Amino acid sequence: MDMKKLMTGAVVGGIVMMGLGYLIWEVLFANYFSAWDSGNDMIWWSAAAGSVVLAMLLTMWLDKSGAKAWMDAAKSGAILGFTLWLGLNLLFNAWDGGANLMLHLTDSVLEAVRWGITGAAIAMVSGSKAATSDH
Amino acid sequence: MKRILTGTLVGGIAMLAAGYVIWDVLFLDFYQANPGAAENLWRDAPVWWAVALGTLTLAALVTAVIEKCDDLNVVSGFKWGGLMGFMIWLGVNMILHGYSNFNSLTIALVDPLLEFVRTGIGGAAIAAVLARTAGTTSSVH
Repeated sequence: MDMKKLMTGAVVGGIVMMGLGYLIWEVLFANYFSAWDSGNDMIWWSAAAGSVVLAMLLTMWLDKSGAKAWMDAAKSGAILGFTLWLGLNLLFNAWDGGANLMLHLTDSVLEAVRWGITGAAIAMVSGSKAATSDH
Repeated sequence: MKRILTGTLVGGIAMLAAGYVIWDVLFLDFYQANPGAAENLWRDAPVWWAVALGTLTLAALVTAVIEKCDDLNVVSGFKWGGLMGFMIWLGVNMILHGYSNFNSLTIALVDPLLEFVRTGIGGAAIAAVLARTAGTTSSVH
């Protein structure tokens, strides 16, 4: 796939993912997920790097699935986000002695929302870039 | 749908077996020597149904990607599976390192490399079984 498109998706998607992550887990559902609060300060560079890598994966997924319109990308992103985090959360639940299965399942649903919105954002930027380069 | 289910099952079993060899045998000491700051994080024994279901779910994602590959063979399956495993776990490990005491930075960086191997093996198994199915059905491509 086109490297410029991949990098644009990674940066834009990474920023949207970080922003939504803060809104969902640190503001809207902070009390619900308080059991996961380590009490330490967050390492921002690490969270940002992780978000950019996952946004790159989402950009590649959207390219492979052929989802170009923002609505298709939102659906495709939500499916990827939910499936990916359901798998990961089940693994965390299996290993973590203090795990709460309901928290892990709720987290997977919220990830579907986050990845859906991020997918739509990536499609919008990719679409406008494609339109710009066409003219 | 039959191809996705077949790939998921075969890939999931391959990933579970490779995961056991890598994390419970070969690199167990390394992981125990580089823990995160959280105490009493790990269960004495994993919940195996959750390990199996989680691994199968990730295998389904790898199958969904490999199924769309034009060149369906063991090498391309290993590359795509490995790339997905590496990116998923690098992203997730860095986020976990940023937000929690779950893992140390050393583990956050080494783990995705091992996942490249594990998910690559799963991807190769998925591609092998999908290529066989493609040869025996006329509805593919």
